[in-house]
Amino acid sequence: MQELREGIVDVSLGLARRILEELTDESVEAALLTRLHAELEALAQADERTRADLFSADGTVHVVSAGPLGSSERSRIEELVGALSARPADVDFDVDESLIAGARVEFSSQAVDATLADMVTAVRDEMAAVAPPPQDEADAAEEDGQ
Amino acid sequence: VSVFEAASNTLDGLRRAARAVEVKPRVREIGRVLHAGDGIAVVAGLPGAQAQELIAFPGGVMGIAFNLDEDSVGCVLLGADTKVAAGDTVHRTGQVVRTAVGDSLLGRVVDPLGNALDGGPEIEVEAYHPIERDSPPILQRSPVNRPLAIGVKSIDAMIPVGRGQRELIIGDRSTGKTTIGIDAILSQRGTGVVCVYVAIGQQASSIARFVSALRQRGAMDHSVVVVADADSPPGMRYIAPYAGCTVSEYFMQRGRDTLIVYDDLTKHAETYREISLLLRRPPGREAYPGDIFYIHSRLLERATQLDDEHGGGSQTALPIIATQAQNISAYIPTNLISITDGQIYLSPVLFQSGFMPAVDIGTSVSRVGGKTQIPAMKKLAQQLRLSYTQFRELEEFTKFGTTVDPDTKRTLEKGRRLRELLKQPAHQPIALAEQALLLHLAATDLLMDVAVVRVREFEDAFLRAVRDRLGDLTARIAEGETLSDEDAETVESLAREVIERIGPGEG
Repeated sequence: MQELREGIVDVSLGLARRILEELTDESVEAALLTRLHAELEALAQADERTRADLFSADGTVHVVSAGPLGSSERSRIEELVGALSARPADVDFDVDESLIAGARVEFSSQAVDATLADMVTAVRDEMAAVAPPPQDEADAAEEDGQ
Repeated sequence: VSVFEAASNTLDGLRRAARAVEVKPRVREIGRVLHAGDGIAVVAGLPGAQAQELIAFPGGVMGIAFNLDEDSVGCVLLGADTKVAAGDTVHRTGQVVRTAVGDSLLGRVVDPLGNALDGGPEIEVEAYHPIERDSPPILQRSPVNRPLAIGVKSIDAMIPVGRGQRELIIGDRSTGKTTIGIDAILSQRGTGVVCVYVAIGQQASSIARFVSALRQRGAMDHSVVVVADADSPPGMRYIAPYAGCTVSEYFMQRGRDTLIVYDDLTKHAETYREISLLLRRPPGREAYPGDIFYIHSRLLERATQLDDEHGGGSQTALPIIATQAQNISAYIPTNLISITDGQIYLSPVLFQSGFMPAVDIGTSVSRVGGKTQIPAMKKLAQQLRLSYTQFRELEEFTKFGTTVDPDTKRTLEKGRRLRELLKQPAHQPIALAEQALLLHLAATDLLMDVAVVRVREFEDAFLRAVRDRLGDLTARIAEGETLSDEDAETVESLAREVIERIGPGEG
């Protein structure tokens, strides 16, 4: 049963990925990056402590994107990341095609993910959260009731 | 649940998930691998990680959060550490380690996560339960009051084990510890007791031998074998006993009687020491970490007899410990002795002198089992223990060639026959009622007519005759009747008949 369940989810999400890969174009890419900027700006409003926690001791921040980012886009992200930290942050860029479209900014203990691949994964995570309780939890509830 | 229902449940879940998911950037907690190897990984980040939480590494490898430090988390990996590299991004799962449980596991050989290792069909898992659970609260427990037959005469008579008891099997290497574990499982055939055998850090070849011994004798259909062999990552070896306990608990919670054999906890303690040293926890005595007592006490506390209100199920635990040079006062053995309700000590000296099973009756003890013995056996047991100990002392004394009076000689001769009777070949457990009849004969003078070397032959012939002709008597004894004078007479006359048939032999 578990296998069947996983099979259905895998096929559906695999199909979603395929379609997204086909349909992605510059406008999608741009929309995702705009959302990423908005999220980083929102993070700048957080309290100082939360912001300090974002950075590791060496202050490195990794940015992974589905395709290579243009120089203006890079400097925009560097600027936004710089606004979060009191000290100058060291930002490095990387490309990972499996992200489909968009980019992810990885701080030391948090990641801001604005990629299509992550949105597909989010369905899987959401499913685990909203799915009917699996057998074991029903059992646990029954035991607690005893 | 039918396939159709499962599929439609899944589709409903997908539909709801698709509606609930927000198409916007996600902010998630992540960690980065600082270094990995030797079955562990240290991860920076993950500020919200909880103790024992499952951490997902790339390549499908999972790890358990063990050490929560200020800015790093020490994880024990449950898969190959070669798939994990420094710099990899990891994330939390919000889950604890779970293992497969259910009836579909019976007859199977699985790893601690419930994956089949026996090449059989995929296991249809009914549920996944956390491997670490609280032991049943005091109010749900009831005293140990029913016997669990180990099938070995010397144990069932003098060191009886009750359902829900924890009895340690302790001894040097190759003194027959595992054999007693197997005999105990074989002895549960047809009794409805579910058996779980947990192999920790053993050679794959000895596990294969063990499984085929169970299979050949038809004991696999009521058993589950949980294996983390010497080749498994340390994390798997560490969780194996807890996983096995959860598998067995599932049946206990449903009112079944269960037996679990941990083979062996010495290797488990060593695995935990290995993990702890690699994670740089402070070493204590013999380099074991400070909580080495707790890892075994919390495991064995889960063995119990539940009261009727909670189904009346039980879990009997037989942990195995290997000693070195008969040193039962080493660190881990003394820990286990203090946690358990008694120990069966196997002596290499007895083993080498051909007394098998090599149970040292003087050093072995059962703290709660005595109350559970079937009445017929209980009556005999105390006398037997005493006369056997007396015989051992006399024998030691007369080794120096002292001439002895006829009375002493007689005690010695009787003792030798009793000792012969207590010997038992491996993997041939005997039912409690049959044992009681044999030991009744040992208490009389009947065996004096059988040569010491022919006691074994007599025993076989006698047991065959009992199974043929005294089936109803053994059934009554098993139900709790004592041996009446009349019954005793029947048994003795049958024994005389057998002795006549096989002849006295040399003696």
